[in-house]
Amino acid sequence: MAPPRKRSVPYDRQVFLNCPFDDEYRPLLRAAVFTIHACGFRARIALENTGSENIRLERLVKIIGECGLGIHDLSRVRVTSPTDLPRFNMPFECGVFYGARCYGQKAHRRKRFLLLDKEPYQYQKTMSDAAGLDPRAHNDEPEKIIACIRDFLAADLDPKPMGPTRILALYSEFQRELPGITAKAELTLADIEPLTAFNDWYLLATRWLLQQATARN
Amino acid sequence: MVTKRHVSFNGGASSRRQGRSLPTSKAKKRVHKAYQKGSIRTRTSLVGMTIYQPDIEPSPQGRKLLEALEG
Repeated sequence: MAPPRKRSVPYDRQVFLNCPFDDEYRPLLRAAVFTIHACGFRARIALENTGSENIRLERLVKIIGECGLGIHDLSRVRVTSPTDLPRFNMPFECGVFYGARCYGQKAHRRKRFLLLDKEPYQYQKTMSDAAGLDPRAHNDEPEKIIACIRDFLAADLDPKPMGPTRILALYSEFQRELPGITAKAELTLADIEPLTAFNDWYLLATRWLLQQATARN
Repeated sequence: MVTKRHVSFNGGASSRRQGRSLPTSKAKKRVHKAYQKGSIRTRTSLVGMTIYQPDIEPSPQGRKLLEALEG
């Protein structure tokens, strides 16, 4: 079957998703990406272009420049083993995005962004400068991250996208169908679990959403 | 007065949507304002939505999954 026609995605429909990529965060990452696309946007993440890691910053700056919206999850700004050092990639990339909004040309100045954290007010210990930016808490729960992201993306839309409950139901439906799809492809769920297979999951999820949108017409 | 009442009665929702200024009682004006402020639509399905695809080339495994989905 022919792949779907490639559309030019408007600036205000591209969402830079700045979040961890570790195994623990994977359920939240998948829920976030699914929600962004179910709301009629396109997620842009560092994983989308698995080229050389040496130019990762340039790639991120390019992605940030192409996105009118940003979602920055600060919940992993914490000390982790084995280095006993916190990782600052998320706050750094959040700063790059915010800087583009403040100092960029006209399109950049209308950038909107959402800050996420695990617990309410945790940002006061990790990044107190964010105090005026109203971070939302997801408690590491996919259901809550779906609601936070949906409400953020829906703010300027009319009609608004489906409510968080409907999106969660749709996501659950997709997850129920995944074992059957992987089995049909002579694969298992474990084959699409690692980070190296994230793009496979990503393509599958968005193509599934497209099928739902067209099948119900 | 009869004419105006007649016009406002027949105007109905269409007139309110077009924002025509019709002589109405205070009660009708309150309803009129509430209708204008509260008209927020929320989708109940994906029908009619544009679902963007990521700009990613599928891996061999990814192609197998997409074929399984569309098969």
